[in-house]
Amino acid sequence: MLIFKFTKTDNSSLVAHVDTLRAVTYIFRRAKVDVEYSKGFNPHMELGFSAPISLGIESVAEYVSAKADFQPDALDKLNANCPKGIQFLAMFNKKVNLAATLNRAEYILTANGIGNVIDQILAPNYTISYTEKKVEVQKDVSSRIFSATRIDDNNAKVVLACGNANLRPDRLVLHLMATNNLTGDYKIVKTQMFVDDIPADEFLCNNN
Amino acid sequence: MTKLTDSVQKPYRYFGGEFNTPDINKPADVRFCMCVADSYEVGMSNLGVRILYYLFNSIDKVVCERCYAPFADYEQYLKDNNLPLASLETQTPLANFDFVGFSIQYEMCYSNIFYMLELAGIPVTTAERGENFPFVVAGGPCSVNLEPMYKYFDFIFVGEGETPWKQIIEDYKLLKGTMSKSEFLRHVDEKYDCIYVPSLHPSKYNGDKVVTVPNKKVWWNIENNLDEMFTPQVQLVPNIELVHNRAVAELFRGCANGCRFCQAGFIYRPVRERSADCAFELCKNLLESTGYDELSLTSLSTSDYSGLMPLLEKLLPYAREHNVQLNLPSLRLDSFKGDMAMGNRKSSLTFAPEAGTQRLRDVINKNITEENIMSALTDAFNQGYTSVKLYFMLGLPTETMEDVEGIYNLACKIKSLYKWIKKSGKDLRISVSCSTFIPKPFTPFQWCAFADRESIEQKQRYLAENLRKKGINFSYNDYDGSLMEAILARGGRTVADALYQAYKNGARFDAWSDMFKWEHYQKAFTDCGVDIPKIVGAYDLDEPLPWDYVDIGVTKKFLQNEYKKAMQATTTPSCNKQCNGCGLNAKGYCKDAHGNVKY
Ligand code: SF4
Repeated sequence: MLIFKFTKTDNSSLVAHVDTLRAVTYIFRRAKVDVEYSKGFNPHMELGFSAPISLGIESVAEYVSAKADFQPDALDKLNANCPKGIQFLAMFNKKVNLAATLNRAEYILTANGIGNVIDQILAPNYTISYTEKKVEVQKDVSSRIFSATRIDDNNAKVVLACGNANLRPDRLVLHLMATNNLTGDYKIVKTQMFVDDIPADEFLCNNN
Repeated sequence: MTKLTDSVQKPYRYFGGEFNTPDINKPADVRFCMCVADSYEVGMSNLGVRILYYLFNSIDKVVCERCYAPFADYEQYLKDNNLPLASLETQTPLANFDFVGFSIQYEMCYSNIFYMLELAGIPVTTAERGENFPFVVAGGPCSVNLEPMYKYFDFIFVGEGETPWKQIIEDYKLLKGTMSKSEFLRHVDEKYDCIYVPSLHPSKYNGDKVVTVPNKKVWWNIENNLDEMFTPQVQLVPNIELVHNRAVAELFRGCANGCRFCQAGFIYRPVRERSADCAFELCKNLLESTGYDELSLTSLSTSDYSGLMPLLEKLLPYAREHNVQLNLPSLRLDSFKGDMAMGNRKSSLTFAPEAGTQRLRDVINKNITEENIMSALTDAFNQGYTSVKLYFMLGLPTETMEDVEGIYNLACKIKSLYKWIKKSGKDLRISVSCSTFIPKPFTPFQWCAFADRESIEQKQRYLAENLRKKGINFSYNDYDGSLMEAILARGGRTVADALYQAYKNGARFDAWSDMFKWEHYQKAFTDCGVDIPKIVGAYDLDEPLPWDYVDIGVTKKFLQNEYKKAMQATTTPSCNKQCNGCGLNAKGYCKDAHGNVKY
């Protein structure tokens, strides 16, 4: 099985997860990188993706697995066929269920003054509020926050749970901005994924 | 960007970035913004835009970008941030282009044209724009009668665009800066017989009836050779789901059948086929350049394509090998063959008998018999199809209740046929869908009246009650929407002011039945004193018609004859069997014995 690391920036960050799945399938088909198809009535390409991110978040660390044999020129072929914002960065040869295994992600958060208040999220029982399906939700997310570091006044770096026990960074940012009266636009970039403490790239390089 | 994603649904649709976008950053002397007055998702499937977009971008020093109608959330976003409507590719305000061109596929998008121009800060009328704004131009199938929009377009391109458009753009590139806008308009009006500058050709009306039609005969441009014509071998691949994400290959233009209600069947004459080899190359190139796993072969009547067998001989193995699903739409009943549905999911069959009795089918020249229908369905049911959709029209000329009962009877017969073949198991899923017939310009029914509300609603009620009793699903078009379409299709210059007024009253996205509100128009027509019955009512055969200034190559005499034959329920054979002398033969078309088929 091949694993590819790719970016989702620019226009492509405006594309929802389901649409990204399809867009990546088309890239593989255009690139003529052979991937097995499922058997059955409605055959589809055997691809598996890392956990979805919300619309508008840019990422330089998305992963997709493909049921395929090693192809040395696959990266070049894929990169010649990408729409704006998608670039393939690395290829690994390993059998992994990405969505279940890559369970943490690092984000750079940018908003006016966010660096100065970021340590608030490390408080015990840190609880955020957001609306989901028009219902106001209060949730203790402390178990899903692994680190928070100030970079400068307007930038911070956090590592949050993702996958099954997910914490959406946009919800965290909006809560933090609301409770501290921070105004203006905000931006989130996903920079890395992890398997517990191990960086995903390191984990995927390791062939056991 | 992130705030955008919090307030706007699917923001991607306003920014593009599709794979296969041509080089739009090259140095350019001419900038064209190609607009579709509907959503991104709908507009992206417009084949005409696709062709011209690549054509324009293939010209040296010419850049073409796109723009679609935004939904209310993005309209609000633009207003909140004081932004004018801009192109997708480079976010250039529409007002900064040389041309803002609308490809008009259906009448019900006119209000969105006002909507887009106003969001772009461009005055809607030619007169107000003067020298300072881009040329606002139009083309597409509706160019056969854009008189209802005459004062909003600087020029209208009439017919198929591949060859002349390239020349027009080259002309502009050469002349830009040497003449004023109005001089350029006079120039193209004189030089091109397929260009119509409404402001140069006045027309006189008495009430809502035209008395003097514009004094230029505008020729509907016909592309002669599809194999040699500019045909993009690539297609934009959007990153979001469209109505259909698939490659679309055009097999031929025109239709040989001559159904009398069908405007496309007359304006796109004669049949011009792509050769099977070129068609296969096109399919293959589109699939390879897009990565799509679904391919649709399109034309007005795909099963009539004489190259279908040689094409499928190559295409079917290719599709199997590359996991591509083939869609072969608009199969006509009389040429439906079981083996042609190969590769399709065996779920639903779609047939369009259009009328419920043989007499009425003869009137409209839909050359299908009940026997054809039953034998095609027998094959289909034996092959395992379990669902049928039937399309009909209500309000056809000469229609009586007997014809409407015929719809019900036919649906019931199909249901029993299925029972008889299947003996046991689940019932057939069958649905009947009835649109309301609209007598369109350049058809033999252009002289006929649009049916009145009472008769249509009575027929709809009859079918709804009786079909539902039999467990047959029934759907129909709202009368108001059809009436509106009839007014837009048949209207002349006298409705122009009311259309803008209706937009001001709130009309937009009229093609979306949940968005269309007749009140906006009703009020505008009353305020502007438009006499609706005059517009949608019958015309005498020798009366002038608002759209008489366009020449589609089919003579009025031929259409009159077809009208007379229709009233006697006499049919006219397919152009594949014989030439019926529609007038194009006199212009050098269809010289071979069998129309223009290649095989
Ligand atoms: S010229 Fe004859 S064959 Fe050609 S479209 Fe007209 S009627 Fe048909």
